[in-house]
Amino acid sequence: MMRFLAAVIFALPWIVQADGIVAENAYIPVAPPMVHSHSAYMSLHNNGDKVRSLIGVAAQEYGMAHLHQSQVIDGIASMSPVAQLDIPARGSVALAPGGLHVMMMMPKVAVQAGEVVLLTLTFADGELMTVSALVEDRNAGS
Amino acid sequence: MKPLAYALACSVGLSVGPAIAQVQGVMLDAPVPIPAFTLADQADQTFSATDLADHWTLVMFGYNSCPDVCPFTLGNLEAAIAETALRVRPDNVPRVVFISVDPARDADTVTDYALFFHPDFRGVTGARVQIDALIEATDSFYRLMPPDPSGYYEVQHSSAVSVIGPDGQLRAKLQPPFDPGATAEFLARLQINYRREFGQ
Repeated sequence: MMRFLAAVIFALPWIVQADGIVAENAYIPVAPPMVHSHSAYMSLHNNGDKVRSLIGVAAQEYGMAHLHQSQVIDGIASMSPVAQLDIPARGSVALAPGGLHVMMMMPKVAVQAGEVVLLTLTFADGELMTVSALVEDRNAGS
Repeated sequence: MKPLAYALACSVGLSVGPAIAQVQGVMLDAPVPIPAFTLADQADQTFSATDLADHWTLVMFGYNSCPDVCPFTLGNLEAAIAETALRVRPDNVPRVVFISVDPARDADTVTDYALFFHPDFRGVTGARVQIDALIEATDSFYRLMPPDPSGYYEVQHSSAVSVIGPDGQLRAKLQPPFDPGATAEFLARLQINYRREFGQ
């Protein structure tokens, strides 16, 4: 069984499981070349019985990354940093365009479609989780 | 923001399930004339009020370093334009213009930025007073936020997209999430209303 699971996880690199947390379909829409602030999106599922809190994120090949939320309030789009993102027990949180996202700035290299960016998620209990985010063409349909 | 008198024009019939249709846009009770303005693309080709005549235009305000909302909106507009092209005559397919409200960072790249999303999209910016004339006429808003320690600054801006008619007047506003099919339906209906108004 474990071998089977390992094979599945190996075959589906965009599904990553930490202790009770599963990150699915992590992706980065490819940005115009002159743009140096990018976003990553994913779904986070908590299969455990306790709430898990995401408190930090780092992105390989970027100078900095943080959790952000876009909001439209009274017709005005703005963003605010998110210090802690709680994923409820047996629940899910979606990071999706127009809402929660990982904002990544100061790319050290040009990021091209088809490449993978490694994200490191830090949880409040100290656990670190590495997620592979695929850089996708805008019309890839994620 | 000064309130404009909007006629609610809900997009009906596309949503499945509860009888709550998402509002894709609002048509204005009374159209608003767009004043004279002059902006330019990164190659110094001007974009002014005369460029609005005789075709439909969708104007979006934003900034290039916007990581989430602007690319999401432009991507959806690209899809909405493709859907609209299935519903209206070719010369009624709206032209999309991205106006950066952040000329200090974007003047040299704003055109390439818009082209990234569609080869027909225009990207322009210009002097603050020129941008502000369009912002005011379309009842829009933006604010440059203080820079963070790295020097990056966010720009808050209106999420709505302004729809300008062939008469050069503001006719409607599109609202997020810019669902492509529903937005195309809204635009097609807006054009039918417009033709009725002119008795065509």
